[in-house]
Amino acid sequence: MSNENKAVLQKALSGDLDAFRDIVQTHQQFVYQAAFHLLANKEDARDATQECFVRVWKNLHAFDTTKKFTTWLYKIIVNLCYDDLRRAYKRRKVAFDGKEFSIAGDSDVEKETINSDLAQKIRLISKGLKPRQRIIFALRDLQELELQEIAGILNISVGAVKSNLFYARKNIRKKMHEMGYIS
Amino acid sequence: MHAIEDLKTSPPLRSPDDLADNILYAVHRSHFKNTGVVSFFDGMIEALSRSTVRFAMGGAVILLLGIFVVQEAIILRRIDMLERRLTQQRAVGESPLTLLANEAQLLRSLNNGGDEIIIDRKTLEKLLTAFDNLQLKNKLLLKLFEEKTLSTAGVSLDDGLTGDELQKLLQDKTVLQKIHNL
Repeated sequence: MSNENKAVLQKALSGDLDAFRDIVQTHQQFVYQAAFHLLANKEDARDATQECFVRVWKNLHAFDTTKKFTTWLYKIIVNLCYDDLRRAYKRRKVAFDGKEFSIAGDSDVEKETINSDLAQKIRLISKGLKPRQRIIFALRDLQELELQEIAGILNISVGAVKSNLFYARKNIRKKMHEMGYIS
Repeated sequence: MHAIEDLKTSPPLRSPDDLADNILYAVHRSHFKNTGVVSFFDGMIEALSRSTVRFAMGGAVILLLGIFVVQEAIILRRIDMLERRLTQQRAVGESPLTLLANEAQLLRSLNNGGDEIIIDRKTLEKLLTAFDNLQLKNKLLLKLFEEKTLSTAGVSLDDGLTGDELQKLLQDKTVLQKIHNL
């Protein structure tokens, strides 16, 4: 962490809300992006971002300044989203009729037509993954984090990250093939 | 892969300044709530905005109303029982003799000092009924008197008693004892 950032953090720790606002404005875009990749819903992502920074404020004293601040933010946002993902996974059901499928849900992504571009199809399919696989797929393939960093965020081994990532990609590929999007 | 690149982009964050303001507001409230700086009025408004608090207050009001209604019902029931008891006592307390005395009193009060008395038909009927009952009782007593007492003296009421005969009977201790026993 740079000295400048450390100074801002120290100010925020002492209760300076202006310093904390600087931290929020610096990181809110990236936190929002991560939340959106996990939840695939703009409003949910916005709410999760807000809650994330409230938790940051409350737990700022527990942050180890020798570690990366963004990794700590990832941990918080992933924990926030994990429960939502688990609930959504339990109630979600996917029905296939060859080329079209629908998923019970209310995200704005799901409301778009099936003939949207491939990225959106992948996003839709990834929502059918188990929560951990989905998180790892989002952090690795969408947020481009290193495997070790992902392991640190989720508190699992690098091997477990690799394994989950492998199965996540495999399941997505399999669904894409079943639906005829890839040969 | 082009699709993956598209996947990596996310929709732009709308109104980032608004989001930052919301975050700071939420942080501000949680910060000052912990330090007790939030005003009492603000705290009250916030508490009342919670549905749990509203439901609890509504429940308390309904409970108080219910207690009040039950209390009133108990009081009314007791009043009703008291009234019935008073009515019963009043009815028991009025014997025929008491009624007769009352009516005699009524008769006297109707006497306006002249030779004529004005009473209503109902009171007259009561008086006549009471008079008839008394006559009957007297006849029964006299019969009993005749059977128990006069038969030993060989006297019958059908013959009629003279004043001397009656005087003599009333001086006879045996006869007096029998009258007493009657």
